[in-house]
Amino acid sequence: MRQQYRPKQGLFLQMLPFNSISADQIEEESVLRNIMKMTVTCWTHCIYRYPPLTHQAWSYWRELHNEKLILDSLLMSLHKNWKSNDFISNSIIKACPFCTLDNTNSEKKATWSIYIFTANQSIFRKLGNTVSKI
Amino acid sequence: MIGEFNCHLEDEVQSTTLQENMVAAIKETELMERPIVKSKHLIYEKRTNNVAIKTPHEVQMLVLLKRLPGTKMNEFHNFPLSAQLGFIHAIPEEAFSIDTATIVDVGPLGYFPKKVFQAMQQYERELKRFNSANDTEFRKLMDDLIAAFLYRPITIQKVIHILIAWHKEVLMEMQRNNNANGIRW
Repeated sequence: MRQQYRPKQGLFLQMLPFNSISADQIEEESVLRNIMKMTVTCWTHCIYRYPPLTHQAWSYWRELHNEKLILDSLLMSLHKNWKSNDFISNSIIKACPFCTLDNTNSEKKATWSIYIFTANQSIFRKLGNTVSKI
Repeated sequence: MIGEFNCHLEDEVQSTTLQENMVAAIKETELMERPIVKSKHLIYEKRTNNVAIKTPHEVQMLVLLKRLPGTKMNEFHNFPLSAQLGFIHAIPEEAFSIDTATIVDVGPLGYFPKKVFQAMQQYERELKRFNSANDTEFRKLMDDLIAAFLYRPITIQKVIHILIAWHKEVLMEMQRNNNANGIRW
């Protein structure tokens, strides 16, 4: 698909007539370029680019839980068909490692936009705490 | 710097011609025809009314109807001009969509509207014509505004990187242990 037809990656081209910041002003390999051109690597993208990460995410999730039921009923290693199980796929493997800490949020599947701004109040709270510490 | 009503900018209580021009420009921009992606096709569409830029009264109504968080009212009260320029937009999180966004909606990503920039440039040219002493100060204010606008998403991004650094470190440590123990996934 041509880049300008992609909903997210095509945003910069679609906004070109209205944007006062040109492509050469945001430089190569800069954070701003990643944000404006939406080329920030999201968690899900990392998983697909580097498959062993799925097993690490699974092990990490298991280590965080001490419940006997979870430890007894779930395998040590990740099942090869993990994509077919919605809960394992969306709430464990594709879950943003940052959001996984907050158990109140049912939707944990990481999306690109979560790294820019999000409705997740807990992230704002943690952001506020971190900024004040910095 | 002396403003339009022969007093300093910080002492002015009524909106200046520059502010009115900027607000008019950004409202017009939001209603302009822009390309959007629908069903993998690029089509042109325009809004019939301003969605991202609302009057204080409209924001108050949306807050009362619980379509916007209460904190939005404080933001609009504390930064009225930023709100009128769409730098703080009034779109509820659940209604926000990148696919159909206008330049006003994506301001938090660092997109500075060209029309607002042109309005400021025009004002700068007028200052140059009448009083050369003020135009450098105005240029500095413009640069500061654009810098703040661009640094906002970068700062958020950096803070999030700091917050998730610990998680990345844990995953890298696991990888190192696995490599040391000869575990291959």
